[in-house]
Amino acid sequence: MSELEKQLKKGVISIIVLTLIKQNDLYGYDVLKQMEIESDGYFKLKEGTVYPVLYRLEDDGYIESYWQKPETDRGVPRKYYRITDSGKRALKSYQDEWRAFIGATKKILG
Amino acid sequence: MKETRFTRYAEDVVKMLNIKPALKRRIKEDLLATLVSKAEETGIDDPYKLMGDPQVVAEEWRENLGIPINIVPTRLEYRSKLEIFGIPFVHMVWEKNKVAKGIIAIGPIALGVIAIGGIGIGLISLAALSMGIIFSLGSISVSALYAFGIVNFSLQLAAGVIAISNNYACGVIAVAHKAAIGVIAKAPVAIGVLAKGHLVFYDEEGAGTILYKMPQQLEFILAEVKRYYPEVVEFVQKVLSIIPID
Repeated sequence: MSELEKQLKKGVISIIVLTLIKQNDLYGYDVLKQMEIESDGYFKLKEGTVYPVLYRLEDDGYIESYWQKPETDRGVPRKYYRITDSGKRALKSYQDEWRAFIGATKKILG
Repeated sequence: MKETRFTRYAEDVVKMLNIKPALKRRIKEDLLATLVSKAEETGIDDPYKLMGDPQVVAEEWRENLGIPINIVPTRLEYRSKLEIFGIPFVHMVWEKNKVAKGIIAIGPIALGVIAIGGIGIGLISLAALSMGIIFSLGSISVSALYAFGIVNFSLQLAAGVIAISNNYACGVIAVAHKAAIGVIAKAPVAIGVLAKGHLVFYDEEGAGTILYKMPQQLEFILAEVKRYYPEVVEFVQKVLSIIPID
């Protein structure tokens, strides 16, 4: 992965994570998988990249976590994340910024 | 078992991150949950295969958590990527009380085909407390075949300061069931300054059925050993060719 690709991906992880968690409550590994699946493998990221974003979003109050045991009795409890009202507002603001960014970039790049 | 390996792996990762204990717990928790999910999905239960080298994983976290590079502690473990039947070819550990397990294992406690360390258990072991099935060298050394060191116990051959063996022993104090050569020797065939056995060659004091006061010609000793105990003559010849009897 080139440095530019790495930086571009890092720049949009927060927005993607918030979007995915807004759609459904997800646990950490789910977030990783969803990012990979929905981007056709483009956002195949490591735990060490995605979890710190989850931590920041939780610390900022944009998402909150809760524990839930999976349906199978043998499974270990998982920490699910759900978006908060503050997170929804932040996501709206991120999306506006993203559109502005894309628009301006496209205008220059053509 | 699987969970224990996962926990150990997660601990190895967070150990390399110089962060507050609360964040360590948080990361460890998430690493464990991810490993469990990945194992359920793939059927693989080796954390190294599921997530990779702990140092690389720790580096990724470090970079994204914004931890300065110079405070990442030095790595305390090396595990080769090459594995044989799921066992790393080389596993080295520098951490107290941690067990190194590999074809070649090096650590405070080493378990492997070749084990080197404080406590070594393997086919071949070189350690302070050494237990090697084929070969063992250490302060206290135990082996089925060959044990060398300070205090040695073996079924075949023990050599060192104190050597105790089922068959052959050679040392300052040598005790065996077949032949012993040493300052103090006790065995059916005993050669020593003080020697006790059946066929005995002694320098100062001897006790046995057939006694010879040293010095004697090497040829004579070998001939007598061959006459009464032909199976041990090779051992006696080899040792006496190294250790002069006069």
